[in-house]
Amino acid sequence: MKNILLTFILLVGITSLSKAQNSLFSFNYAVTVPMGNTSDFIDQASGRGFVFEYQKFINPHVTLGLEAGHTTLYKREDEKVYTEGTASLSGVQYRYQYSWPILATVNYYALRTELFRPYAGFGIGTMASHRKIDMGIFSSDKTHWQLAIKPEIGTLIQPNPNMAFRIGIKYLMGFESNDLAGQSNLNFNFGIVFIN
Amino acid sequence: MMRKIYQLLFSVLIASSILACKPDGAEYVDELDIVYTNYDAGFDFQSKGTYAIPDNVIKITDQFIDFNPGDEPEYVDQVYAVTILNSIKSNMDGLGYRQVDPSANPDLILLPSVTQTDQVFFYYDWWYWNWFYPGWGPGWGWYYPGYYPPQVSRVRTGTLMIQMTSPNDLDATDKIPVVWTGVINGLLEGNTNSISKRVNDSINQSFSQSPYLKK
Repeated sequence: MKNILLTFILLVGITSLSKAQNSLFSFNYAVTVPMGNTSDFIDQASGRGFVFEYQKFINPHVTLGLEAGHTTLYKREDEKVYTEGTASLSGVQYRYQYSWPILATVNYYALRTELFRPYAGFGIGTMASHRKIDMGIFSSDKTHWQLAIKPEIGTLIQPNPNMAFRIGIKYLMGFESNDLAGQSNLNFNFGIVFIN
Repeated sequence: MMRKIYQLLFSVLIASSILACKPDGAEYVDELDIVYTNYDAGFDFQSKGTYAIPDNVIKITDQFIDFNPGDEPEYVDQVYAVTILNSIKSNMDGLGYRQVDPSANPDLILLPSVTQTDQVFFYYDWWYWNWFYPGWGPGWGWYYPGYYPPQVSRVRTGTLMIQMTSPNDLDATDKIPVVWTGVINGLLEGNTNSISKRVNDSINQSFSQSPYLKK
C-alpha cells in the first residue's frame, strides 16, 4: 500500500515537472589532461574530444542519463632506445590513444534560481582505450575495454529555461584490465545544453 | 520534434569536425629509420681484440642460392658500400677493436648485407659468404645463440644487416655463432647524400645502443 502511494506521488511529481523540465541533451567540447598510467604513455594534453549527454529529470534536482564521448591523445616521442632483454630498438615513435567512454550517469542539480546552476554527478560504465604505436614503417595497435567511473562537478550557465551552457570537470578512471593498467584523465567539458 | 532533430544534427556536425582533425604521423623519411640490435648475453666481447670485414657489402636478391665455389654474389654499389664499411670500421675501431686480415685468425668477423625487403629480418643462405669467410665449406652455417631476430611485416624498404660472428667458437655441428646483430631499416627515399648520411647515422646508433661491445 505504501509503495503504491509512493509510486503515485512520484508519477504525479514527474508529470507535473515534465512541463518545466523533462530532459536535457548536451554536446560538449572536451579537453583531456592525461594522468597516471595514461600520462606515462602520452603526457600531452589534448583538445581533440567531445562528449554527448542525455539526462532525464526524475525529480527537480536529480537526473539519470547516459553519456558517450571520444578523445584522442597524441604524442611524438623523439628518438629513444627501447630495450627488452638483449634486444634494443631505437627510433622515433608516434603514439596515439583513442578513448571511448560510455557511462550511465546520475546528476544532482541546484534549482535554477540565478544564472549559475551548479551540479555534481557520478557515472559508471565502460571505457574503450585504443592504443597505437607507430615506429618506423611498423605499427601496432590494440583496443582495451575497461570498467570506468567518473565523478564530475560543474555548473550550467542558464540564461533561459530551454538552453544553457556548461562548464564541467570530470575525473575519468578506467580500472585495470587483463593487459592494460588503469587509465585516468582529467576532462574539461565546455558544452551547450538543450533543455526540453 | 523538429527542434530535437536540429539539436542532434548540430551536435553531430561539430563532433565530426573534431574527429576530422586527426593528429599527424611522420613527415620526413629519417623519422622512419629504426635500428634494431640484439646479442648473445653469454658472449665475452671484452676478451676479443681483432676483427675482419670484407671490402664489399653483399646484396641479397633471393633467399636461397646455389653458388659453386668461387662464384661471387651481387654487391652493393660502392658509393653506399664505402659509407657502410667505413662507418662500421670507425665504430669498431672506436670501441677498441683492431682490424686484421681475414686470414690472420680474427676474433670477430663482420658480415654486412643489404636487401630491399618487406621484413626487418630476412633469412639468407650462408653460401653468400663462402667467397670471403675463411675456412668455410659445405655443411657450414650460422646460428643465433639464445635469441632470434624478429620477423615483422610490410612495406618495401631497405634493410642493412650487420652480423658479427665469432669464427673460433664453432659449436659441435660446425655452426658459427652470430654473437651480435644490427639491423637498420628505413625507406629507400632521397638522394645519395641523404641516404648515405642516414645510413651512417643509423650505423652509429646501432653501436651506441650496444654499450656491451665496448672493450
